Amino acid sequence: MNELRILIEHALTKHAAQIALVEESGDQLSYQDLDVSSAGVAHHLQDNGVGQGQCVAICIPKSSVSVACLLGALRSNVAYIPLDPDAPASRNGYIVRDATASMVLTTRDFANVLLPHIGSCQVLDITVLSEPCKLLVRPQVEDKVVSIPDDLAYILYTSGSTGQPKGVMITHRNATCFVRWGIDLFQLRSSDVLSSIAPFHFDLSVFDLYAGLGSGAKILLIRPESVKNPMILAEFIDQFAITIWYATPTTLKMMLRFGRMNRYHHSSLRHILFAGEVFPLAPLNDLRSRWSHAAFHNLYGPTETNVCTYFSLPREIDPTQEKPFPIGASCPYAQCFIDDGTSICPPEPGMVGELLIAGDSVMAGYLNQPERNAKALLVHDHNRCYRTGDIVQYDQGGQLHYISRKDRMVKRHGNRIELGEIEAALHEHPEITEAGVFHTIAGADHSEIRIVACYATVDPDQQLAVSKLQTFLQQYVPSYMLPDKFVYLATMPKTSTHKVDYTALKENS
Amino acid sequence: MTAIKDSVKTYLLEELNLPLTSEELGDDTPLLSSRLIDSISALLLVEFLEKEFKIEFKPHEVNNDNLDSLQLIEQFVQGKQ
Repeated sequence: MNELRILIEHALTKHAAQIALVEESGDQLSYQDLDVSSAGVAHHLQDNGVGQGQCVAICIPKSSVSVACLLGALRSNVAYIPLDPDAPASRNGYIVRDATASMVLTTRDFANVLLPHIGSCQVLDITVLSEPCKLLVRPQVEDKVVSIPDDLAYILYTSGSTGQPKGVMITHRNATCFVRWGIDLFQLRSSDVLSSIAPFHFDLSVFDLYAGLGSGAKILLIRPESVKNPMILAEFIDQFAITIWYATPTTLKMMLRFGRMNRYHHSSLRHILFAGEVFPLAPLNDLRSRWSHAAFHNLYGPTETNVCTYFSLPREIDPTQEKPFPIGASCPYAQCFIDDGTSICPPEPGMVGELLIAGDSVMAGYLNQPERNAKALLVHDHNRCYRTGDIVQYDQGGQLHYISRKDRMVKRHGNRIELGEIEAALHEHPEITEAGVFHTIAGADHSEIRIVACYATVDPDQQLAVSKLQTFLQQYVPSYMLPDKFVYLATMPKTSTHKVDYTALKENS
Repeated sequence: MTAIKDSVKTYLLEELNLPLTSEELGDDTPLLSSRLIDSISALLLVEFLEKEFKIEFKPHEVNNDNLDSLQLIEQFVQGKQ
């Protein structure tokens, strides 16, 4: 079974009487209800002529309704694009236009904000369908739908270095190999309760949602506001008896620091999964001591390949360990290669270079980006490979270790940020003539990323107010991309080729 | 300005290093919704308020309704005392 659509349809039928989704309020939706509500969305798409080969954007806060919309698109074999409802409307509008989405599924409030930015794209205000969880009761829509594993399942937009986000096209085959692996490795079953912490436009959410639904488990949908509140997160684990907790190291560290963890047992936890950034050893070991009854796993993989390597941590803490845990070895559906600058070959002990990933999880490509695809995707020894941009080292024990990035992409709180996208946004400011953005590393465990934006203005000595710069940037980039510090420079340092000299910039700032 | 607001204002400006002058930070200046303080700073602020005023936040009370301005913070602290 290589189609996410079929995997989910089977689950909706097989586990009909089970609870599929729980919201923070305690409201629940069964697999049967989710079957009906997603079928309703599928019917609506089909009735409006939206079908195979087309895509729809979904801009709805995380809820049972948004899940019904994602599944409704899948069941119609329409690729969906999850938008961040909190992102600037101009950015979401760009995504809708770039993808030439056939329709935007949203709520009235967001529709009003989005409309000026999405051209002639149709909008479905889902609030007009009076009972959103029981939209239109006409099951059996799939009889008409034909799909193959290489059809697109969804498109996730990530930060783009040239100033606009780029769409990562994921097929049913790409997603399904990972989801099925996750179900098997963690032995997910219908008695499990998974946390859904990541928003749907973030690739970490794919595991929670589809491995959860695929195994008949219950999924707690956690709102973005609650993700920022570690006290609530720590409370949820006991309140909802969560068994599988998947979060970024940043979220887990925040829970340790502010979550009042001593008040809870958290005895329901079976597996702790983390991904998106390096987890410094000290807080990780603190968490392992607290949750010694659970198994910990480090998952690695860019959006373009989904999870492609993993490392399951030993149960015992080694007090002599100094370095963070490796990103591990390849998942069974992926193959790793290393480009050490002279050749591309399978990893050998001691080898350092850029990690390339081949296999079923490698994306179909970036949407409308032939030049970027030509750089990122290559065929090596009959294997279609994705260049991750991550520099890794292969150790004597057959494990890969993350070393650094090859380019100007940074990860903060698990979010990918192309510094060039922030520079492009700064260049939109009428008073700014030049901009250079770099990152520094701070914090006691050297894991805090700080973004510094330097700028020069039309009029010399015209320093801009920080609050106004922040407000201006919020029109163009999501809040997680906002710089921590702004530095006014009379002149921008340049290299001999007239590009921003980032080395000098860091020294001067 | 009351003692509560005064104390919180000093903390925001001197400990959390808000990029505002004392004059710019008014009773109604939005703090969280304007992203003047981020989620980590908001949690540090909660820790400060709990210690300084000997109160305790319940998990769901850490939100914009109670923390988004000096005025709201003062109301919340007074309600807890």
